[in-house]
Amino acid sequence: MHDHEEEEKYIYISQRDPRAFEWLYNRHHDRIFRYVYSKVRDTEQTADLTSEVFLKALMHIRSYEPKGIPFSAWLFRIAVNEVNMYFRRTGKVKHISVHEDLREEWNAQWDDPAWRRQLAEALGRLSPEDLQLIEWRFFDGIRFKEIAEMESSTEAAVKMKVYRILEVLKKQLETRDEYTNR
Amino acid sequence: MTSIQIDNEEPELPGEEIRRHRDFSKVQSRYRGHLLGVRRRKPYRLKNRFYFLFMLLLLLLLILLFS
Repeated sequence: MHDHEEEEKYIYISQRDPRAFEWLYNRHHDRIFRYVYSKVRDTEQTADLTSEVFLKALMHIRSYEPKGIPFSAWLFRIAVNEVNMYFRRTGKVKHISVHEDLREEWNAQWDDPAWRRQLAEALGRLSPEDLQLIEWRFFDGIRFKEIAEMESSTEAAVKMKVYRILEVLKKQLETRDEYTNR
Repeated sequence: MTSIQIDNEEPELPGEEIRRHRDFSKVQSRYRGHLLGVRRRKPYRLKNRFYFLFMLLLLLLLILLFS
């Protein structure tokens, strides 16, 4: 039996018997934990939020349709919501790390903390939806195909949107550079 | 506005540390708590609804009686 077939089997059973959810939990726990930790940077808080993600998934597993988005993407979307809610509630600083895809895409002064601070400010001014897309692609390193699945959109549409936002960001930072260099 | 800090490197978290927190019983006990909460709330809501209907009927009876 293939991995995804086995996963579908466990989803089907979990929708009727919550005890079967343990298999899905063990399969996806580490990836979700790593994602939450990359933003929160506190192990205990991460453990708590990760538990909450799986609790929400268990509570809503009956509404999950295997014909729609993949289970991992569905779970990831819950994790993203939980993390965003946590930052809104606590007002704490969200940590993001520069992924190699962004370094290749954007040849900038990544080692300069002042420049990174400027970029962080510009990112903070984006709408929550636009920030999420940029974060997924260039800070979490999620592929366009997976983002499209999470957004229930097409890969081409997501690509176009992401590059448009990136251009806006670049322009904002260039104008700022010109202004400070005067 | 979201406060963001951009780090140059991804923090390293050993797999052992992640596995230490992999405990399905925690999720299960929270889920049981959630189910208990739902079960506890339902009869209360039902009782409230009956109480409201009963008072409405009583009021209608009183209006009919005195009109």
